[in-house]
Amino acid sequence: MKKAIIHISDLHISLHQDLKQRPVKEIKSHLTTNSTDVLVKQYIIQFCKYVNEKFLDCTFYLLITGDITNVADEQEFITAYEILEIMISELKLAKENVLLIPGDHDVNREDNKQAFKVGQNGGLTKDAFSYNSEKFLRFGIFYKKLFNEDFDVEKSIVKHIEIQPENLLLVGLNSNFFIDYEGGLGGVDLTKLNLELGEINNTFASHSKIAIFHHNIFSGYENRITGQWDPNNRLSVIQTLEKFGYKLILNGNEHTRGSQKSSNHNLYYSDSGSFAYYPPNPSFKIYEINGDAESLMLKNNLYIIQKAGKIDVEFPFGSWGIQDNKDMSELTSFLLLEKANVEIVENNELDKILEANDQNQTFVEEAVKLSGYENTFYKNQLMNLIKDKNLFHSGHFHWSETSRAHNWIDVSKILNDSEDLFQAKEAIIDVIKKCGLEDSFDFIIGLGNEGTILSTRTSVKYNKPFSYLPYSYRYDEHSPYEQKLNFINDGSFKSVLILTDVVHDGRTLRKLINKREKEFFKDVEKIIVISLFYTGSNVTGETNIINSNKLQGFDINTDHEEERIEYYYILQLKVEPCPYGADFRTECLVVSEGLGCVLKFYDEEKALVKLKLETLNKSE
Amino acid sequence: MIISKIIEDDIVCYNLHAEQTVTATFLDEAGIGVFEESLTNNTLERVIQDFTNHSNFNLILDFTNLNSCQNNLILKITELIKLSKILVFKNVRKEIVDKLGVKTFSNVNNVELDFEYSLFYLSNSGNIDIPKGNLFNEAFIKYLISQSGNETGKPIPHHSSSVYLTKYIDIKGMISKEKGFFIYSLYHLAIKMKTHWNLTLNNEKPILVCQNLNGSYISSILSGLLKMDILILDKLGPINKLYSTLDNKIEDGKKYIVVSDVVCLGTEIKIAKNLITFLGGNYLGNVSVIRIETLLPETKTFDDNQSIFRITKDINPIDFQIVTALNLE
Repeated sequence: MKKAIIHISDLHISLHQDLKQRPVKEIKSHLTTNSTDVLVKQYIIQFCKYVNEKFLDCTFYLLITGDITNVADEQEFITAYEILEIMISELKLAKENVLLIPGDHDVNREDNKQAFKVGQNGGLTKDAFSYNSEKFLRFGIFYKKLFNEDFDVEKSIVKHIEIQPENLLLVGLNSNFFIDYEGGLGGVDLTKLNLELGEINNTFASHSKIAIFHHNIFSGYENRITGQWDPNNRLSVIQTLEKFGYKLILNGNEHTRGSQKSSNHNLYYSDSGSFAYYPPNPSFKIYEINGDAESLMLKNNLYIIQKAGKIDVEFPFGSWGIQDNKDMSELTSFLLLEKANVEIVENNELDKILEANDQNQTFVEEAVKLSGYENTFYKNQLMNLIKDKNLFHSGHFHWSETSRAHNWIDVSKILNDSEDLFQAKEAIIDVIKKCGLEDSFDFIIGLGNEGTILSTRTSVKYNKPFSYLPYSYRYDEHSPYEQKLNFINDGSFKSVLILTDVVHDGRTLRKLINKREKEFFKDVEKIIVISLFYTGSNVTGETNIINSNKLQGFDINTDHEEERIEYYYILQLKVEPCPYGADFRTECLVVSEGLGCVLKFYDEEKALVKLKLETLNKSE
Repeated sequence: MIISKIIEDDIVCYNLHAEQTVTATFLDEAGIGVFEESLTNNTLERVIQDFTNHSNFNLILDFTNLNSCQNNLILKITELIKLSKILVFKNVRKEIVDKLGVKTFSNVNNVELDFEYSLFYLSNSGNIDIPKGNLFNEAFIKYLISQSGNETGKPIPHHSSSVYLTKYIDIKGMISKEKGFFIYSLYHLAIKMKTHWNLTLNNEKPILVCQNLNGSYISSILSGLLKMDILILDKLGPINKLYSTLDNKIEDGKKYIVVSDVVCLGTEIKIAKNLITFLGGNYLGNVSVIRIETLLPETKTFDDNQSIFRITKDINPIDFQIVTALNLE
């Protein structure tokens, strides 16, 4: 029978009413104390159903890395008990295979404050955080009720689980040592930690060991690698874990799913993200146990609530879906024990690169850049939206006299839902990150209404000078103020990022660069273009495909030479250009016979007058 | 990026909720915009990073609209105390002061009223001359003046109404010149909208309707700040023409708010309103950066507009006038 560890965290079961029984306004967890809300139970049922379907004939171990409740209220713990009983039953878990540790939100602040006050009044001088019995009182009652075991408030180790014959040891630790009624950072009593880990090591010295905390000792945020741990305590804890041979830390707290290997320490770390708190979209992980006592590896599987394409979603909270680790910047696996000369088949190429180049991200990015951009998560999201909202249309679509196609993607309807729009904006940022473009541009332009809407998050996140422009074929239709770029390029903008919704063969971009804003782009060395969709036919995935020297049938008379474009897209969805020339009105049956819908996204009347004038001028 | 910094003499002011909103809208994994009411470490880190350039200035942190704060912020506050001459919290809730553990400062100005301190000095002595008036409004007027004008001196024909304007207001110029401050301005608009239309995080909200590029930019920011959906109603603007679409974009019974850059005579708003209503939608009102009040208050039957700034007969810092051939000199 297979074995797998389910990792959930940060449920934040929240009160749905205040003391006066008024509804709480802004609840940010899918799990509340409202026993009449069927969605609360369904949230758990759907989770269990999903896990059971994904992992047939599997023995599960359940890890809950804290913040089970939101404010450690008694009612929240009652709901937590009910929810966990359902989970244990549905997943057929043995209670000894459930490891649950408290988070700082499971510490009752009021109890701690009262105890501290009483202590002070009684002449005690001890720190507020050391009133352990009081601060964990409610958690302790819940713990006892659930496991029929006492929660020892004075110990560092909450519980350990041994998994045999793999020789794997899961050790749950209480990182709330410094938490008091004002909060605080993660930390443990170092003396107790050393003593307790030493004791447990006497029995399990040769085991592969995993430490489980609530607080993150490393951080998912790039700019705060040290996590939310007391800085005076952190390094000693890491060194203690290394001393006893721990290879992996599992934690919650930050609501930011992720996994990495520390560049300075021989430790993997993995955060499952928040199970029910939102935003961001809730997530959990399942680590499949592969191997034996001589060679052991955990396969890392991430699951996120999906909301894109909501039409088919049965419940308003969405539905669980599996993610590709590469897309989500997750490690594929954690190698806990390596046997010499044993080939680990499931360790994929990306993992090998990551392990060999622990911190050397550039190698990975380089590998991606050569083949453009690929992320099945965002690709599938866009494809699902297109399908669910029926946005890929057939007919005859005109953007100008020369730009015509038999298909059209109605992108504006992808961008109209605030959540889908957010995902589309995130997809753009994912391209920038994954393709190593973060330091590669010094100016941003949003193109067209859709490109302007898409570019706001990028423009704030990267804080570069920003402007937006109309699509080339609609320039005349905008007010003079909207046509202006408002920036003069004195040579300081060497690389420009253009964001837009759809690119076909890049003609409008070449026109923008070489006609509309020729002066601005004169000294620009590189033009990075990112779009949601590429509707052209080039399948090489290379980044130079819309440069004029790479285009078949490029016509210098009607187009502009341009070889500085580096192009990335999220989803390729080929559309059929209208194969007819200027005589399409009589030759293309769709138009002449009205066989399908004919949509014109330009002022045809005006264009025809212009064309007539040009013909007249030529003949004169 | 910092959006809310306003410097007045030797005092630097930050609006922490506005900055928290930036963290929650643009930087976090999936933010909740203006509905975020808790101050986080990330936001304070950004403020510290920015304020490092002004060390030894007095510092005012405005806590308006913040109800709580993340744990563990005291180290950051200590850093700001060290960096500044005097640090003052403005409109801070008692709960936050308690949580930060700074209540020990016993400055005479620290007076609690209804669980809130209008000013809370993080020093036992000292006093600074707190700027009076609406700092944002004053800064916005300067910003508006810098992006309005008329070099030609000749009346400018309005693009959708049969009138002339004596001045242009270049909204795109405002965005280009100071992106951060423009977002701060939209933050103020979002707060007004939240209050006026009682918008909450989880309830069904009206849909923002944008009609041109400026409107698209404004809608995109507002969508992030208020978690509102967007409808691109292309194109009602300068050419007064709606391109055909395959199906009806306006949904029956849904509520719509039209987004504009400048509402002058309201012609485009009226077109949008008629279209929305004709197609079964429910027109709720409009929002804009600038609203020209062409009617006297007593003439208006109701006000369905929220704007960042209103130009009225009495408050007209750019001397904006609407004229026609009948009274042109």
